[in-house]
Amino acid sequence: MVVTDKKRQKRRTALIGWLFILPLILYFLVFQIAPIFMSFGISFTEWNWRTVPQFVGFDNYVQLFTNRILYPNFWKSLWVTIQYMLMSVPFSIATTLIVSAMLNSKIKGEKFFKSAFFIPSVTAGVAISAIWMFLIDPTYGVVGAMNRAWGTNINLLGRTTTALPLMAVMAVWSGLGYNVLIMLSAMKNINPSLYEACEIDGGGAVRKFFHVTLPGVAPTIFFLCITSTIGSLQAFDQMYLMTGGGPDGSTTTFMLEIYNMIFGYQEVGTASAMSYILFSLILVITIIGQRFLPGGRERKEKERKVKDGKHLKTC
Amino acid sequence: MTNKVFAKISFLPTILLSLVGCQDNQGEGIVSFWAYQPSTQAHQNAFRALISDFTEETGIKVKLNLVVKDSFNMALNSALSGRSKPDMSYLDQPLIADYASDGTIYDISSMFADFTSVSQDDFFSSVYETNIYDNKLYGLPLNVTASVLFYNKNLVATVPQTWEEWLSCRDSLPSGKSLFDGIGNGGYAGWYFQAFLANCGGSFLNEGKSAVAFNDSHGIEAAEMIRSLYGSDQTSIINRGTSDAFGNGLVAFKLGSSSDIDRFDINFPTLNYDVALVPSKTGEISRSNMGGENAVVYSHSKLKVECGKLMEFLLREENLDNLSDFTGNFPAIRTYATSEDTRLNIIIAQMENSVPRPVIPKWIRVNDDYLGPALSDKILSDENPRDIQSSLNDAAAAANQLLF
Repeated sequence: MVVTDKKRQKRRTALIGWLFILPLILYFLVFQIAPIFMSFGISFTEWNWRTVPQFVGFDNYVQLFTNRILYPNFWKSLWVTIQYMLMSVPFSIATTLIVSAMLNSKIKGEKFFKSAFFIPSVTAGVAISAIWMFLIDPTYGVVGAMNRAWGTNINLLGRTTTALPLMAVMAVWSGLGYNVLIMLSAMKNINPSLYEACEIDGGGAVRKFFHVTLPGVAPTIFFLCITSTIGSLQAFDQMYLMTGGGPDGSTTTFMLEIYNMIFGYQEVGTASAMSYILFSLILVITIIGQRFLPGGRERKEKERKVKDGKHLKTC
Repeated sequence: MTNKVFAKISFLPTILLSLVGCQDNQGEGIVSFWAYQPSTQAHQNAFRALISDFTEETGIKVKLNLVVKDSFNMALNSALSGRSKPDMSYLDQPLIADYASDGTIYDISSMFADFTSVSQDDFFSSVYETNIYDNKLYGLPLNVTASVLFYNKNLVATVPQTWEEWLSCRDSLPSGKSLFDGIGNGGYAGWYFQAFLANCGGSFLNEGKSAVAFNDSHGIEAAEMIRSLYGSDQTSIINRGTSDAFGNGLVAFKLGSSSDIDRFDINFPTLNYDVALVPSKTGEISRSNMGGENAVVYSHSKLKVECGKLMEFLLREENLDNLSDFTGNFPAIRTYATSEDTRLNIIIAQMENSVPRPVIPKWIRVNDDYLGPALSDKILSDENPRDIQSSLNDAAAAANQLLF
């Protein structure tokens, strides 16, 4: 009798627990999981929002890859996105490492600099775009002043060669604070005795950085590489707000093209197919990253070495 | 209170509220009407008051849904794919053919024939025609506007009336100033190109509406004119690259419409400017492009008769005047389009000889993906300008494959 009561009580407790997390489960299923499967299904249809979707098999995928007249921006936007990724990710990781190492070297005003670097990360993308638009305007702001003072004709957003690199610089600037915060935490977690050991072995600042700091933060570098890569492949707001994809499509990223396809031309099936192509690309890059980037496949091995101090044999 | 009862009380309302959120209004006999949200609170209140007047007069209940213009099409399409579908809404002119071709909007020909207060002849004819697809009437125009020439009175002594005069204004410009603000990029370029094309006697489609025609001799002439207006000097390139070059007094001319008048008056109160008809070719009348909003009824609606009554109510002079005020455009009925402002009167005069975009499905795609980029990114490129004929031919070939 006592056992039955206990069981009933246990079941009731479990049920109440489930009921409490039910809203979150519903939210997760309805707004996170269902759209993923729905959009996958929609990618095999021709649909303009208004009519009943028509099943077209792989036609959307085939047309995107092969029909350059119907989809003139597909390959172009993919290439722009890859260029943007190649510009922004290495630059972002390198800048993060340098700034973090500087902040980790017990400089004066560390808190101030940390806050200063972090402010752009918590500023709205629209505000950032507005500030940069003013800065780089060819007749006003800083660039305008340079043009007037030196008689130059710098028009960064108006040239195909400079518009995308500028977007990459903006992305690095605005994401630096977040990256530095993560990297700095990783650096502060490195055992100080490892630095001391390196010093005893005659290692200077450069050696300490390459033989202690860098291996110690390898997993964090890997994490930032993956998140920055995914972020760069999904780049949208700056391009939408500042250039609309121009000049000459030089800043039309893949996400911007998906947006145009779905909200401009109501080609929902095509846009869904593009989303899955992007998803596949991100997946492939993540797998490659896991295999080759520092902190990937050998991450656990290196973590173990750092813990044991065995990596110091090269110091 | 037991745990079970507590759990029921906590979660049932959540689930019920979620379900209620998906309910539509048709079963209740309430007309769901979607319109552009006026920018000021006063105008929004006036719009709601207008709808209340209709309900008071007819007894027909209307749920007015005001949506910001920039996200209107997005929100409308989402609604049409779900259960919260409107019965009647505003619809941008170039979308009429898309919505008519797939049966989303209702053929109102017979409904309009019963209207007693307004007839086809009352509308600006070209605006009325933006609602005709496959010889059927799918909507009625509410507001309209046309592009006109804005000029800086400090930089220009006399208003140019012909293309030659317009180009010759460059000679008298002070240093650091340039002639023309440009036609924008992508879709904007395609939109303003029509004003030049119309002045050459050209059109986007051929007479039989079986192929695009913007790559014929008229199209070439129009593109050459725009390229001449641009100029290739660094001052022109830099000035075109700056934001609000006209407002800041850097360029002498720009194309714009009624909404730009409000924008310049508010943001650049010291700007000494005026508006004029778009210069034409010598001996020709001035033509331009036009745009605006139509009212449509949806095929799925069970309240079409009520929608017809609302449409006729909105087309009354005082109501249409109000609607035009909300959007900054003009009434689509010719006799109602009057103003005491000389600048607005220029736009009204320009509307008499302005042409709308073609009523053909997927035109927006042609404008934004083919024609616009051919102009702004190839023909008018500052870095590497391409041949006009071949650029327009490429755009035309792509457009024909998409449209026909």
